[in-house]
Amino acid sequence: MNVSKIGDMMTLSEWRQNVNTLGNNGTPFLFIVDFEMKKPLVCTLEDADTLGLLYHVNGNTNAATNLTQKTSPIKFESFPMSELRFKKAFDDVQLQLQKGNTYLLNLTFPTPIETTLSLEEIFYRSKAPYRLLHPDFVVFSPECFVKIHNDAIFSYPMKGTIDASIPNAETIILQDKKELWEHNTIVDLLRNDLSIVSENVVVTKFRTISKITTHKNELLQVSSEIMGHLPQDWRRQLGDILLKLLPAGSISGAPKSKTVDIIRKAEGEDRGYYTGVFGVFDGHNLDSAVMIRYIEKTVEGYQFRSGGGITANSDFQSERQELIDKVYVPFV
Amino acid sequence: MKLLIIDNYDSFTYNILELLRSINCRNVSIVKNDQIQLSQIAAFDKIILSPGPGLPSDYPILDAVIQNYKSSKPILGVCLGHQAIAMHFGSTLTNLPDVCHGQSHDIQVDTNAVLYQNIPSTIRVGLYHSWAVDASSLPSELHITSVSDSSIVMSISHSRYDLHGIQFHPESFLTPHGATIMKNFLNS
Repeated sequence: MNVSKIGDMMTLSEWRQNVNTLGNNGTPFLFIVDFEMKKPLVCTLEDADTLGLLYHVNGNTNAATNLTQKTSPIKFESFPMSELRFKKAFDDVQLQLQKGNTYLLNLTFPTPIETTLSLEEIFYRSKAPYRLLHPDFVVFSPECFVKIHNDAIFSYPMKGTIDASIPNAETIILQDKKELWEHNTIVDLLRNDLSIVSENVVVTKFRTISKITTHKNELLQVSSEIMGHLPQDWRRQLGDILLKLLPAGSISGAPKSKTVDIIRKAEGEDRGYYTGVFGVFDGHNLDSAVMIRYIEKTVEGYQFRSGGGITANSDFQSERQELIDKVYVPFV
Repeated sequence: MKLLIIDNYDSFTYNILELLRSINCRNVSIVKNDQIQLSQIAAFDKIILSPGPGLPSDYPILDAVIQNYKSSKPILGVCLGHQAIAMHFGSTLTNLPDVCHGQSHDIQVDTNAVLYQNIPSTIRVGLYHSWAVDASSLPSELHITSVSDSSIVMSISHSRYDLHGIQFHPESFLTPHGATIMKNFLNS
């Protein structure tokens, strides 16, 4: 496999074959696939450094741990998109939900930001189980795409958050019907996706609560766990398996194919690596993330991309607020 | 038994496959609705029409499949597939004022119906739909075999053919009796 620099693109078919070969040989590797699946990357973990890629996947990392803290005050300012543009997209999506063309759709937009931090500083200072630094973007994602351990594949759909400081926060979020319906949909979608590549698919945890600490507050996050059994030779078809699961259900919606068409029309531009996936195969097992919480360098400056799931019961103002609220960095 | 699932580009089609595997039905082919030819279907024993986005009229192949095989092969339509069966016999659909996506509801089933053997008269089912079959438009050859707690038609069967439509999703984890319903179709 020849990947000499980051600009060296491979076709999706080459990527699939490379991943199958690396998996079969038990060679540890890093992979990155964009939402549109036009710019897939894969390199051995040894080569990641030379390509300018830093990864941190639940503690497995090639980044230095003794980072220097910046002492000067951090500037981090965001400039949310116009309400009108979001309203137009939101209304278009609502019409499609009413017509039964989609049941759940993840709608996202870029927000220009100004910050004194470099992408590298954000990589080092942000707190998240999954982090990736690429020459053009940085990711600090809380969301797992899939984990493969031994012959089992796991997915952990996350839908629903609430400010932990609200009295009875846990009861409120668990009893919220709209949240429940949206969570049901994502669980059925991910059961389906795992059933494409594995068997004996079961929901092992349903709507369990975990606490997330951000620099602003504490949040309660609702998530589930779905598990399936892969064929024993999964490593030699790892590229095929990953591609069958893309795009990730949580950032597209259901039914996936039609929903992605609606997303393209509503958002009006490619997402690029945002909402794609990245992960690490350690030679035996695999862990990966959905690339949400994402800042990219563009010719017009930095952009923070964010979004949320829209259902027939979604409220315009709270969805817009969610999109704005997600534009932050959980600093250490 | 050779089973064919016609996939209407849905994201629950593999949940149907997994449900079939769970009851040890393994000879199943999934073919997308724009990649199937009517003549290929002859090789299969039973047909499942998957759920899917939009309306049955978006996929004319569904009506052609029903037209060609309704009298010779058992067919089960789920959600969009159910609506395709109803429309084939002249029924109309209504757009629900409050669409149901990811909801679970109680429905009343006719325990004498083929699909509801060994099933309690009230069951919990998962729903994903914006459209429903208009009960008043059903011809006499189609009878209603279950209704929801909001009086929406939840399933239909044909009086002479082995032809069944279900609006709810037996493959959803929200439908605990899904495996029994599917077994009943396989044994029909």
